Amino acid sequence: MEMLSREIQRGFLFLPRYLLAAILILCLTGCQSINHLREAQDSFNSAAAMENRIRLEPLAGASGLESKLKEPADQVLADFNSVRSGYASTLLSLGKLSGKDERALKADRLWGVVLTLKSMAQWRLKDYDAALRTAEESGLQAADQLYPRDAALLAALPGLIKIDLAYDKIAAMQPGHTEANRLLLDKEIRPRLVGLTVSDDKNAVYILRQARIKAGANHPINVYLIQSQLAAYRNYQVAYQNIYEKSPGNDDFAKKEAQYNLGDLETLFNNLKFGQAGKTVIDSWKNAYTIMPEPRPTP
Amino acid sequence: MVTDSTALILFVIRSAAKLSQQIRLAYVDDTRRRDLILPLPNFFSSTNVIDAVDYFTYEDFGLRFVTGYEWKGRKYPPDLRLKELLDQQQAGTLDAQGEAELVDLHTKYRNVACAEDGGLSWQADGGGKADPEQIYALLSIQQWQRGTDPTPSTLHRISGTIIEIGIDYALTSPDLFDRNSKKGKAVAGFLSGLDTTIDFKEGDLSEIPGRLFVAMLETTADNSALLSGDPKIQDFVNVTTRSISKDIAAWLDRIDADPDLAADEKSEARLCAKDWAEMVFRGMLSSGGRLVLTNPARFMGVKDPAGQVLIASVGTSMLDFILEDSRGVRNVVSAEGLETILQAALKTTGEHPEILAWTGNEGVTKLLTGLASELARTENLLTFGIFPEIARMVLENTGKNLDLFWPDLKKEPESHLFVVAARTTLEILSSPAEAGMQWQPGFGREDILSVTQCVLDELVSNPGWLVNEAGQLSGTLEEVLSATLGVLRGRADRRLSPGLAADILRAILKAMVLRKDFISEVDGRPIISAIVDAVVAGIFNDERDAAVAWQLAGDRTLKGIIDVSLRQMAKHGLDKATIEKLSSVMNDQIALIEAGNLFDLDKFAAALSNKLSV
Repeated sequence: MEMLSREIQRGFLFLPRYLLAAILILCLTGCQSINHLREAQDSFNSAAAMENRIRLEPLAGASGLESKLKEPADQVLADFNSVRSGYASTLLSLGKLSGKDERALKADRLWGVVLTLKSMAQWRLKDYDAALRTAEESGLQAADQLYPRDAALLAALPGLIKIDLAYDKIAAMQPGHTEANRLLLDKEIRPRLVGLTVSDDKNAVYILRQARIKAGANHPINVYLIQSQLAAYRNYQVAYQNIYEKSPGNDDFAKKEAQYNLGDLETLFNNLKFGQAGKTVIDSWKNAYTIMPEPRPTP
Repeated sequence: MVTDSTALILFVIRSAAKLSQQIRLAYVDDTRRRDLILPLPNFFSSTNVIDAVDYFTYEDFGLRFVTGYEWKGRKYPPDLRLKELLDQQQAGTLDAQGEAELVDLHTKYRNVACAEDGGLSWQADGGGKADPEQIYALLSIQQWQRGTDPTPSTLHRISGTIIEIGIDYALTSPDLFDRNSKKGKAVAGFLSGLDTTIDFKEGDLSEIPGRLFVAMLETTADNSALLSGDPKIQDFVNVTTRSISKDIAAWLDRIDADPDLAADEKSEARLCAKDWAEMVFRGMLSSGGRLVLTNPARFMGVKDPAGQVLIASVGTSMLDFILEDSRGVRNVVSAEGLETILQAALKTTGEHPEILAWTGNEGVTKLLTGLASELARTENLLTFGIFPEIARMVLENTGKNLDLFWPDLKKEPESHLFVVAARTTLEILSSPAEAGMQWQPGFGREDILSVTQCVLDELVSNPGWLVNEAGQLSGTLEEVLSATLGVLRGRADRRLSPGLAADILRAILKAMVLRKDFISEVDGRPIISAIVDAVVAGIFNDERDAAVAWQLAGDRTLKGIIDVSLRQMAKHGLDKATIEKLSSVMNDQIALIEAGNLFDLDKFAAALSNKLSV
């Protein structure tokens, strides 16, 4: 055993230093395409973090400033240009990928990651058609390289776009109980966000539910998807308030669905053991928009 | 030492290439699994005056801040300014400044509510708010749910690669150990086995123990001379380890290929398979070794149609039975229990190799599976931990009359008289007493085993009263046991121990062979049960003097009375009249005890004989 140990030591001490360098060179070769992808991921994460921070501060209970504002949030965001720059930078990094890089990334089974990131950045930059085309392309070119989170995101994308489209319509509304507003709510806003009937399958809440099913009940992506469903309900709630000067009643199935979704979120946080952080999120949604989390009835 | 520097340089280059490839793959995996911060879609996150009014309207939300409330023993008065604003809003007189103030109060009290629920550290000046970082952090989403990432971690890749480089170095270095020596060959063989069967850098970590075990078994098989100088033992080690290693390798492959198992279920199944294979291997070495030494021709000479020796077939049968585990047997069989079954299986198949030969080596597995299935039909029976002992009894007694007890060996090895008899007995003994019965206790493990052993012994020694003309178990066993137990439950009380009750049942079973008429019925039950009833009825009667139970309810005395009664009754006619005579004699004995006399078993026997002779 002692002889063995000596032999092993001698063997490795023989390793020339330049061969160690060779290991590093070999590692780095062929990583250029991956580095572009990682740059794009970093840009996207920075932009998304900033955007979430700005958007969610009122939900977290910011005092004073927000309460004075009547305009939609994004119009008063001083940092919004930085956010847009971040997403644009994501697309720039992904645009640097050559044909050779594309082949390398496909061989490394990372092409699905690329396309998902690209479609999300296009969505945030309001290039909805491009985002949907990229999502479709990922299904054709990288179906076997779409992993659980990315696959759920691409499935959710049409719903996320609908929420943004409805948001723009609501932001442009002049509050008041008018025929025009009622038509807008019934024809454009409600169908996009929560649906006109329980069986409606074209609205954002339904599309996001299908994405949740795709991901599986306990995948962390559900934290995002459920809050997006709540965002859809919130937009509907504001549109309703603009017209009727009150919130949807307890007999409104959209409100009921929002309560079930918040209940699902609470269950998810318990299953994933998110502790106090999860409770804070639930309480924030609950108390800000008066949505009581309720357990979803079992079929 | 690798003296050829060219060979060393080539080895180093190969190793460097291997390591760099794995580092790159780790980089790729990390990129794929990187967390992504997901931006929520556009929505109206700021609250408005309607949201504020909603919040302060409902009891489940903020109404308490309007009306005042008590929390943790402290009273909080109503917020009068809040109420004033809400009244103005309802009256339609609230101006823009009032609206802004109302929205601010909504924000303030949301934070108070959060603090009261333990959500944040509340600041006395009322300016505190929830920690937004907690909310933002939850939107950083990973690619896979925890525990489902199919790619190896960076540490796994790198350390696995280093291990493989070490194995390569050991295999290519001629001076590391003497390959001409037996030990050197064994080490080289083991390392070679590792090199070809285990992927340390990318294989699932849970695969490694099982594959290491297989490699160890294969090495042992090829180098059995290292373990013993006795050729019989060498052969035995060789065949046993070879058969188990093949079997466990096949199980590991089967687990890998199972589409219905999730990744974490596969990991658990692999580790479980390896643990059980190790236990079977140890059991085979300790049990089989002794048998091989006593009768090598039987255990090593007899081969199945595939050429595998008998002893190896028993080991793989046992392993297959445990790993199939459709009845949760793994939960109730320990290493000791496994060895008990192994020994019995080896002994029986040694005497009757056709059990394996005629059933394609599946006879033992099917018998044990059938037994486990039968026991599992009775609720909680397997938890008694009796399966190994019952299996041993069934296996050992099977060989005593294979044609009778296992007639359909070739077609239905699981339809076995002992299995049916064991189940019948166990079902009756393990059933709880009905409500209202005087005697409630349940039988313990040892009592159940002793009665079952007695049933199986009777099947072997006196099958006449248990087996019908079709060669199947008759209903007699169930009738006799149920009726007798029913008598004990109805008549006895806590002075009857479960052990004594088991003794009485065994006495009944052994007595059945004395007279066929014991099974005849009187008053709707077998006569033998009526005899027991006649004996115990007076003993456990609360209206009698306590001295009666004191003298007669003892273990030895009561059992003695039962034995004597059964023997005496067997010599005379068995009908209602003779039972009444027995009752009469018992009453006389009881009267004597109540008069202050001591009970004498011989005198009782004589009195009973005289009475029955009349």
